[in-house]
Amino acid sequence: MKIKAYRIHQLGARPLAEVAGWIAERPLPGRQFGGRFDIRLEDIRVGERILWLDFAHRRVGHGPGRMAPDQPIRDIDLADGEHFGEDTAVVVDMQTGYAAVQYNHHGPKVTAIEEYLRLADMAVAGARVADGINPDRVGFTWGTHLNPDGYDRLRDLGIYREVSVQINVPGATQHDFIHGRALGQIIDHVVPEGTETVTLSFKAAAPRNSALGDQGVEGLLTDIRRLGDSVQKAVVKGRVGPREPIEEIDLIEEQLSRDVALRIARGERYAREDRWEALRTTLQLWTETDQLPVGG
Amino acid sequence: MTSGLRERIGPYVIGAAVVIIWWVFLDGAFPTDPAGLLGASGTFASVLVGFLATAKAIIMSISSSPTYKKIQSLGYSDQLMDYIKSAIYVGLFFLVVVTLGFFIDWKSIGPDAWEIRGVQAYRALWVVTAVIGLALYVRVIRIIFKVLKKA
Repeated sequence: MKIKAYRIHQLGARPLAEVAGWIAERPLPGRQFGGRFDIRLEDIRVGERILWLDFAHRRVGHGPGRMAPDQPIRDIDLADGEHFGEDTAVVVDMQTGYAAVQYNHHGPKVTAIEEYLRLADMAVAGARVADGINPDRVGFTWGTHLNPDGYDRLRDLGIYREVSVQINVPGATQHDFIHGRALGQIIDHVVPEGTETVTLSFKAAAPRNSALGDQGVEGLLTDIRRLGDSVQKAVVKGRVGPREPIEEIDLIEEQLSRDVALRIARGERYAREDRWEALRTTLQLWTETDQLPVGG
Repeated sequence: MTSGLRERIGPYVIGAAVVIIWWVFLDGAFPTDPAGLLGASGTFASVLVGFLATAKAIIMSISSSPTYKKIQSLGYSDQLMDYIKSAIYVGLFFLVVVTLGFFIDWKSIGPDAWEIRGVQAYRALWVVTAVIGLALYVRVIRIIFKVLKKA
């Protein structure tokens, strides 16, 4: 199981444990608050310093079947109203704000979790976007966290030559139709058929010594990190000094991550307890090895 | 309740709510001689129906645009056509209701109870059809303008 590091910043008035606790007190059908992603908080455990969370959503599209060496692949019967589900486990260090997040290709992504928690935070306060509440003043941001080597190389760059970002913009999807989203609402998110990504590129002027402004690039990099999983590629090119060669830093590849081998449990899934434990030990390891600097 | 369901039933809920408010709080107020109102509402309904028929032509003309193609691929184009169709049908029904109003002799209603009740029912029908027709029209216009803006 791949584990990725994020840093959570509280934007609203309530800490994450309080918002998550409020959601967990509600029955399962009452744990969704609209938005583009139909995810819900499936399970929670609150420790003194550690917060364990598990987010789930319905799997859309082609699902798995079952097979055996001497049996062809067959459908898995589901009862009425049942769907295949996918979940993503998260462990948060509430003191430092760092989070270890399970990478599940089909599970809820950090972008969806971020929006879900923002809507939940608004629901706790009884606020709605329509009431004129600034959605950037509630909820939390989940920024990707780079490994120390990536940070060092980025800090060493004295001359920024180019920043290019590839952002995933699926817009409205079949998921919206299945979940009964209003036509008037989905038109706002429609992007032309076939469009999946937008690539932005900022380049310095042609002369060898020209550079992009430091403050502009640093602001851009902060914004890129805040976009979380929507960013497919983010590359910074620059030189350490005027006579040095151009260096390329891929911020996605440099995200702090770790692979952990887990035992496949019953139902060919990783057990929640095993995932939580792997996330907790990874977070502890990263903290003990100073890969998660506090402050700044 | 999903936003899709709200969008689908919203105009009818608004119609029902308005007719209840009109009946309970406004005591079913209606002009004693509604000839002018009927004439104006007939013209209004004709304009709405005429525009909605044209709206379908507008949609056809942008059917090759990337935005409309995306709406189509997501399965929403039938819904848009249903919205236009229901707005046209309710608009036409409202025209029929208005036309029927011209056959009522508004100066000599009663004293028979069935006659008074029949006219009250007509007034309620006029209010509910007018409100639903307008709400359905607004729903279509809102969506069409969004599509045109993105086309």
